[in-house]
Amino acid sequence: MMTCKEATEASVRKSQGRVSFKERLDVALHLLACKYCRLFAKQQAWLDQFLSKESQSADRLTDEEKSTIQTNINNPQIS
Amino acid sequence: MPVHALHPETWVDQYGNQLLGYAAKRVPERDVARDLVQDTFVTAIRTKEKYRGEISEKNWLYLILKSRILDHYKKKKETLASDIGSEEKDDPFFDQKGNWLQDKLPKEWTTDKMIRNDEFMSIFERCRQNLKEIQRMVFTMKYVDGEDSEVICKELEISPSNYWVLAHRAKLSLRQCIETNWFKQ
Repeated sequence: MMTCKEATEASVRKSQGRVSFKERLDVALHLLACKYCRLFAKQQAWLDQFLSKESQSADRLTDEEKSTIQTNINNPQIS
Repeated sequence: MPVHALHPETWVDQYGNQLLGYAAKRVPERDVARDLVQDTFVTAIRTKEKYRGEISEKNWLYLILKSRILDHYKKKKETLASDIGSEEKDDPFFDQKGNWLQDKLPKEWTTDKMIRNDEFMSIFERCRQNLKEIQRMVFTMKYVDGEDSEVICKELEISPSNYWVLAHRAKLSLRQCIETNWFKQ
């Protein structure tokens, strides 16, 4: 029987399509018996979906930073 | 005859924010992210003779920034190996037999309220920022760039087994952080 640590890692690999047939079977058996790893597997798959959909909130440069960068670009000796 | 030309005098205004957004997703410290962007512009100007105009100047700048970011992580490779080793001995989630630690047992989630909820988004973002920086980089390459694990391993020069350790830890930490902060009521 897989341990919880192994089963959760296998769940993460499974969602990226990287498990063997035997491993898939072992995980399924473990999940049948273990409520907590079942919750983990479900939630990590949900996070996967959420992560790939998540809109990208972009950081922005302040005006001051822009002008500093501009000055530094114009003065190559600084870098 | 090159199709594209460079206009360095417009770069900061035109691409500064986009490049910073890209860097900030990959490097946790904002100052470092900003310096990498500046470094990108300086490198671009220094090497502009090599620009052949085959790709747009924007894509060219992104390529330079990306290689700067990867260099930033390669410099940290030694700390990565020792980080992975030390957590292996002192696992924050599982006991020595590989069972869940009592205080880390996952709880039931109701996920319907999480979607399109500003408070959840800010918790989620904070939890993502809390990931150790290499885990965060792996996450971003995986989910934002949509890269395969092979590509990520190659670009960051890490082994597949280290990659899965990082991906596993990142998921455990993110899940735990969200549960603690969102379901605390």
